[in-house]
Amino acid sequence: MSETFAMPVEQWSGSVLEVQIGATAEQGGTRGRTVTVGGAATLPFLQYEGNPGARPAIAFEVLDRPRESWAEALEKVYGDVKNDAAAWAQKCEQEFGADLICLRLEGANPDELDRSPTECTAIAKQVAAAVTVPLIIWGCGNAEKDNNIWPELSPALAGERVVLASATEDNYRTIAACCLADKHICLTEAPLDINIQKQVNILVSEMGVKPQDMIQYQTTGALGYGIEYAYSIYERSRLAALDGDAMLRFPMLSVVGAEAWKTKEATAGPEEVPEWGDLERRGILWEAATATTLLPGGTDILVMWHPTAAQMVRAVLDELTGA
Amino acid sequence: MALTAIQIYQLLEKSNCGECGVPTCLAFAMKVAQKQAALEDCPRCSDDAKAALGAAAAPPMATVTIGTGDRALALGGETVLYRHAETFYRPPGIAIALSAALPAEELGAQARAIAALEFDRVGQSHKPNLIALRDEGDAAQFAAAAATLADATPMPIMLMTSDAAAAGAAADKLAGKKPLLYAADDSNFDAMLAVAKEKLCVLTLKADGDVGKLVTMSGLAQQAGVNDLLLDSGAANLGDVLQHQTAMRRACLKEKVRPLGYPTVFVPQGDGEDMKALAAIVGVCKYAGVVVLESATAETLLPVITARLNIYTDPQKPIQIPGGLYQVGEPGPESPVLVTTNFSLTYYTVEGEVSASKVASWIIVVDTEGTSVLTAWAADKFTPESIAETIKSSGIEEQVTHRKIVLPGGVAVLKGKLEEASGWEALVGPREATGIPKLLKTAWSA
Amino acid sequence: MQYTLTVEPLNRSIVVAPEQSLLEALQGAGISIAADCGGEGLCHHCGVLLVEGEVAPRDPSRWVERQENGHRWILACQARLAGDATIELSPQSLAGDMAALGRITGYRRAGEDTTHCSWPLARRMALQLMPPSAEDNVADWQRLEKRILDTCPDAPPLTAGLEVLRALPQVLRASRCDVMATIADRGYVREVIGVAPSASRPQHTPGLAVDVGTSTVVVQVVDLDSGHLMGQAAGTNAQKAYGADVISRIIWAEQHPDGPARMQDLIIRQISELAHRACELSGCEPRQVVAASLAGNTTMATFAIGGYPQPIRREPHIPFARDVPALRARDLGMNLHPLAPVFLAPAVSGFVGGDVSAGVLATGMADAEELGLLVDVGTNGEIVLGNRDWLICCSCSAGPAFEGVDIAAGIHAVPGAIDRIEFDRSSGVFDWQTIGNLTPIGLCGTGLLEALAAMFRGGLLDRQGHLDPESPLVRDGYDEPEVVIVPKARSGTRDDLVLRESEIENLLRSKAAVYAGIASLLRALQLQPDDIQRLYIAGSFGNRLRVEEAVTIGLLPDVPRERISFAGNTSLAGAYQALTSREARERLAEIGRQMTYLELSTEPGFMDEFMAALFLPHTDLARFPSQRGPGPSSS
Repeated sequence: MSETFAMPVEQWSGSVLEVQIGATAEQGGTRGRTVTVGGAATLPFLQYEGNPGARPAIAFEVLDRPRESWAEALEKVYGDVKNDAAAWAQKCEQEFGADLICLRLEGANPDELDRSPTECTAIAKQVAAAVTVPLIIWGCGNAEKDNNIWPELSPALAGERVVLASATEDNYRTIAACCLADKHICLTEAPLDINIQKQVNILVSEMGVKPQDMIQYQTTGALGYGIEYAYSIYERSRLAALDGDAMLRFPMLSVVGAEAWKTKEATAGPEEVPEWGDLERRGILWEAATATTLLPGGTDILVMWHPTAAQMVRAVLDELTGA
Repeated sequence: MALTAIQIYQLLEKSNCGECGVPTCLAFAMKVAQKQAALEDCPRCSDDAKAALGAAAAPPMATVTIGTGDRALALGGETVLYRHAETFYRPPGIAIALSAALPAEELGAQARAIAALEFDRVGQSHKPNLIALRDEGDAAQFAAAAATLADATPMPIMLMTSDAAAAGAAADKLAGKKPLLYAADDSNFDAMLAVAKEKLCVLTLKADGDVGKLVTMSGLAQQAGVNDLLLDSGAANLGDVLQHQTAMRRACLKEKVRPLGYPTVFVPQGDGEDMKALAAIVGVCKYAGVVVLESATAETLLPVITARLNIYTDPQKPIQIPGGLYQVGEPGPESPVLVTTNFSLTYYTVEGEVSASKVASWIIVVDTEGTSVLTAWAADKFTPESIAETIKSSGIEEQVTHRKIVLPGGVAVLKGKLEEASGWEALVGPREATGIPKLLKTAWSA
Repeated sequence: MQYTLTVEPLNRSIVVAPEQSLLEALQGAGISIAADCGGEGLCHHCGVLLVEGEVAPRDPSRWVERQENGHRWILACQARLAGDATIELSPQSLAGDMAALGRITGYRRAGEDTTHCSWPLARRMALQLMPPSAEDNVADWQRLEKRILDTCPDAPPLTAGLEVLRALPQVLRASRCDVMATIADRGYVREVIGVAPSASRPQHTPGLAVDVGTSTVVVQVVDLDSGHLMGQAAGTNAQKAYGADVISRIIWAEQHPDGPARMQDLIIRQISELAHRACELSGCEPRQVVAASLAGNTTMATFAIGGYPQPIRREPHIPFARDVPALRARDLGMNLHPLAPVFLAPAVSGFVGGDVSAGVLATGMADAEELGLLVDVGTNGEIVLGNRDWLICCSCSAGPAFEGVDIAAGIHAVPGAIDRIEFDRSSGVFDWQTIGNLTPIGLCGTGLLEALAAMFRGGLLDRQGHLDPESPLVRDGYDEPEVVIVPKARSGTRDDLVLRESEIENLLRSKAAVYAGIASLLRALQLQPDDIQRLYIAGSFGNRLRVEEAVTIGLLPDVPRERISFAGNTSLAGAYQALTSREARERLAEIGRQMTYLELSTEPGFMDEFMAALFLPHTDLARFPSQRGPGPSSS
């Protein structure tokens, strides 16, 4: 007993843009390989309907200085390299199979180490030299400071097609100008608001940054901390892209590790919450689960911390993409 | 094609009689269009109107209830593909699987433990919903285990077997409890159908990866008078599950393929508990009606329950956080205290500014039902009394030695009355949150 | 050689010598219009519309004219007749007060038959009764009643109060039964409120039409015999001292033991004062006013009756009444004829009141087949969408930014207020016009919106409303960037006139609220902006707001411009119609019943629409196809 049933197909008029991160020597950079994200012409993982686009990439996050305290599970993995960003990055690529390295210049914040632009540039270059994969470089979040860092750091890595993060509604001109001048990719950021996302995208675009040089990002919480807002914004963004909205069709980036590992689920031990089980397993699962919840919404880059969590997410991706 | 509010309005009497409890016919038509009211609620609605709307308004997806009593689980009745279009209505049921081969005492103990499981999130309690009993090949054992479960817990039971006889025997032990049968497939279709019908069970129809087959099976089941159905396309891997469940939801909502208008069942495969839990999360995001987990291990159950909670939160309700005391950074006894409302956007804006100022502070959040400062003030929810009450109940008085609180500039008028009502000194802060860092850095002193 | 000048809406014809200016002619005829600069062509307060006929300039160098509603708007002091002509006076020129009040629609023109228009709120009837006799010994009141019914078959039921009954026998005998009866329409009954000998007949039967605005109160004296406008006065609402917006005033009233009484006193006194002034202009006394029709928002109506305003601001925001049973001037403490009926336009909800229902009546949108949208660009931002089949409304709480509140350089539409402004990118200079052509002392609502449009077009403002730091006109103010619109050397205050980024943000939020309200109403009924056939702009912007600018900044949807019109003070126009016609009052009641109120704060899409509208012109640029093209950003 069978019946011909046609899997319902939607006619979409648009798609997510394809963005290539990193540039090889032939292309003007020094990366061993490049990573292409985006390109979906259908909803996430809906292979039967259309081109599902590039498989989401996993970036590992590297900090320019160690945290005062972080989960034991992370210390176990990164304790030996946390003082050396380059070594850390290398470990992520070689041992943990990172597709990208995301370097966060937290130390540059005036309230932290207040690293100078020159120091930041030096660290960025060291990290770039230590790995063959493409880079994402995140500022410190202090607008004034970041606007001093980019003009020095950006040209130092000119041609590498680094994702510079991030352009916000209140501070986008300097970073956009640097991306234009040095051929980097601009990450636009919005505070969990699809309208602001589009507005920043428009502002950055109107400065001349090309669509193929843009990726978007919504500040999100981990699983259990309002992740559904991000999830729905991802879905709405994807639908807008498929409907042809030129200003929402950029690949999406999600910050998973940093968010997941600050939650109670990842940090509160059994003495505090006995009913929640083993802390390490819980923390790793929380990061993996955060990523897994976001995937069906539609994201193209996951910035993660723990290699085991990343491994689990890869296994999930294998199944979702039919690999 | 659903009728628009105006189209529905044209079918009404348009007399604004108010008998439906809504002041105007247009308002009523809008409710009907949003499925918040039924056309039947209009006492003057003509039969023609009902017929015209009827075809368009019949729910595309059935609501099916498993189990009875307090812990009965209602599933389905969904109306949208994306939660942001409206909301998802009935969170999927989480089933924890137990083997029928377990010794009775052990089985009973585990069942009771599962029934007692409760996770507290966002001030609400969340639990698994069903116990799934796996048939290990021995029908008598299966039935006995069902009996044990019936005694041990009021939770709805999912009988996992492809042996119709075993299913029947077990269902007898669960008479009157409306269990879920998993599943009727090619090998046992008629027999299982009969069990479901006779023993009043909810029946899962399982295909072998072919959604078309489900359409046929569903049609046959309905013809046989069995309407409490769940569906499993039988997809082998997670990618197919996502695609099939999406296709089925689309088919029933958009193309009115009524045989597919039922909730689905997803039994994650995958290597180990952790991977199954992650697979379950994908299922939860993408339309699963029941997900079956191998165990109730906290580490794996908590993320699944949380994902379910998050995805099935109603996006139409104003985003708000619980009222009370919040910390930004590590504030101490001399740290500043600010007060604001519990509308998420308001709170996070204030929190963001405080955070950016790098001055560790306390924030007292007043429950204003998710409204912003000025709206809450206008609607009498952000008042000297409600603020004073929140101050008392928040416990801030044990945390700080001073008694100074910063009031949003827009409600400066409350200063005097607030000081009277609370006994605290009220400092008038900036009208806009952007002025907070300056205040905290320069003007604050305990 | 003489010409005839017909003056509307006064329905007067005057004889004019060719060398006289129109202003002189009017003044000579006792028609007093504003001429603040003494006829020098400077203040532009004597503007009139040339409806028909030819004029010639007295001094070509001072000639000013423009197109308005299909006619030439000219200065009365600068024009002389070149033939017979008809002109129409504007409320500004009649009132000499509060420029930019907008035209009034709906008043009767000369020659329009008013007798078939049933029942103004009060009317005077000349009645010759048969004197009683032994055979005809019908009692006095019944005699009068019968005569009235013979004259006016649709009058019943009829009643009279103590004062009239008491005085009736004397009046009848003193006048030999030749009397004037004043009859008020109280809705369910007609009441004789006065009987007087015909000989004492006053020239007119004055009634009041009142727009009780939150910011501005306007009173018109209307001759109920002809429907003609006799005089007008306007003033800032005296309750402002207790809050610029309704919520603040409600809270004040709640917190003070005699709050409601105080609020009532303020508004009634003000209406009385304005009535006094308008009556002076009209040549009558307030005590002679025999009817008053009021249109105001729900809070104003509540205060007017001395009512308890608290429920308005609390969920579920319930008005004290939709249709208000007829009240008397005496009940409210008004200085009119004590028994004069006072009619209040119906309120639809706590935040959509009689001013809006009156506005719907005045625009005629409730009788049209085509889909209409009425937008009141003011603090409460009420919006109505609909046609004769259905009506839906909302209040988008735009905030008082459009009235200049909380904006340092913001002022009302008074002489000296900038109400037109452009920015020339190449020269980097602002070019403005002020009301009265005086030295600028600030920007009124229209000026503020135009400033937004001008700065955006000229690249001074980016789509978010942030100022271009590179521009020489932009400098660091106290805490934030600001732009210098008028340097102090050219301003009438002793300071630069600037706009700060936070003030620009306030304006942006106000315009976003209005647009989002419109979008939410459309969305609730699954309609598109293009479905709107007529878009009426009401409110204090009158007809000074340029439509193009409003679309440029995304205040109004991008609909074909010919669909947009300025309806002026629709609240006042509706009050006028209710004053002069029972049909209008009944229609108004129907409109009140028909209107469906949409509560935006609980409407799921509203916040989203609002966030999307916080961009110039809008985040979704596809909604503004006429504004396509590269954004005017600084690079």
